[in-house]
Amino acid sequence: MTLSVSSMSFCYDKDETVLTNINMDFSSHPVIGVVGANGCGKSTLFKLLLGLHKPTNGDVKWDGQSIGYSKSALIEHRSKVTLLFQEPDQQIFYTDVYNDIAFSLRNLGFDEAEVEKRVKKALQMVDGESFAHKPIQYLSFGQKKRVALAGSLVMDTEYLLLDEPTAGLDPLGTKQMKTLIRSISELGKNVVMSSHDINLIYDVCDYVYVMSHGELVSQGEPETVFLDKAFIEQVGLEQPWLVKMHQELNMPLFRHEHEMIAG
Amino acid sequence: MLIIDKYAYQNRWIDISPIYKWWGYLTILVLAMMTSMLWQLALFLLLSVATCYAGRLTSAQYLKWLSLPFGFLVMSLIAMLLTYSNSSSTLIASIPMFDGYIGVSAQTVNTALTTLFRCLCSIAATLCFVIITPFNQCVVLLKKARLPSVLVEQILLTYRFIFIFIEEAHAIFIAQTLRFGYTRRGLWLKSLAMLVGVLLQRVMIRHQHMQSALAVKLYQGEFHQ
Repeated sequence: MTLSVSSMSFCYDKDETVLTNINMDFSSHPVIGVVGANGCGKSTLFKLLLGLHKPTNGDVKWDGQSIGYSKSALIEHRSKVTLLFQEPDQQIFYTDVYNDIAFSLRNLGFDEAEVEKRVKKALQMVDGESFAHKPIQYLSFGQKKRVALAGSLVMDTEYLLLDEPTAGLDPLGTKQMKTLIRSISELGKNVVMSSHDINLIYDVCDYVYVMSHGELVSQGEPETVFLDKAFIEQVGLEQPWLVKMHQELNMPLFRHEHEMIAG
Repeated sequence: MLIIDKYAYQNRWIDISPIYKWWGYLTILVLAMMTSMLWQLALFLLLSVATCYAGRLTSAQYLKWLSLPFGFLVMSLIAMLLTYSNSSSTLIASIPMFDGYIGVSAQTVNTALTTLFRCLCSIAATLCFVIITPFNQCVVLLKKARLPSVLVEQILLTYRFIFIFIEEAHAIFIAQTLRFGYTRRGLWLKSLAMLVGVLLQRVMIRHQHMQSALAVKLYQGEFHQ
């Protein structure tokens, strides 16, 4: 079950190349981060991974084979790879939580007993049972985000792509999201996430791809990728605070906050 | 209307099947047409109490909503009450006007009272139905009525997008107000024109986003309810 892109380029029109010769393997690590400044092509990359756009050159590959773009091939691909959009309103259509989460399962023709079982499980995972019967328009942003996430989790896909999963969330919401990402990866699923929250990426991801102006400019494990301060700042990012503490205050390099506190 | 919608989702009878609510509503409408004034009044009072209880409404809130259609009703009643006659003997109260009299007769009072109680009862029944039947249950009713699914989907999406549309319009309006877009009459019109233009652009963008999201959620031409 591998998802990768090889020599992939993409442009919306001839004069403007959005992605140039990208090679990435998303099966190498359980949680992979894609970072880069605004407009570096992260969201376009995610859309390409789902077949919402077709690469101008190169391929998106599933198990080493290029994905098809026929209707049936895309449905099959999207039942293995799904995306949580940055803006929850973008992916919520129904007026009530239950039907919205059940939507994709019903599209796949699951019977109602299975739909109910899966929706309940997804709601439990996002801790959303308390507002399961509230109308969507009266939910807070954080609650909507959880409904949208449950709508993605319910499909039980091999790969879950998260576009800025913590954008707009309060500290508690961010913490819950971190826990959730870990528990999803513990279930054997692959998570690919993009975020501007470098501390979150450093804390949660096992491997990081750094993009700049549509190109892949660096990759590696977080504790090595973020060490080069000049490079990280050059691509419009900043170092995680644990890396700064290591470099500025000569503290040991910790991966997680709790390690530092325990140490 | 949006507040009514909020109450509808919190009502005490939310778990009762919308089918029962619909038949109950129809029955009360028929009773409102057929029974005597005394029964109509009793039914009106019963419905008012039931609506306040079910919708967790205060009587002030209920009366406020009731006053909206009541205003129109009063206008109609005045038109019904007044009549023109050549002789004042047929009128209960009258004032001379031109060669005859304008006033109210026993017959017009009777017609007005019948209309008043009938309308009050029907309005109370409608308000009760609206308060105890949230939108998702209305969709169930539409489906049960065997309306074409494309029409039901259209209604469903329209309802959802009303809120998104209002939120967008409100956000643009606030942004313009904070930048003094509505301080003068000339500016006011210009800002409003910009609001409409930007809103159209945003709706188009929303539509593109929606298409992507539907594709990700494996939409195959049918909304399920």
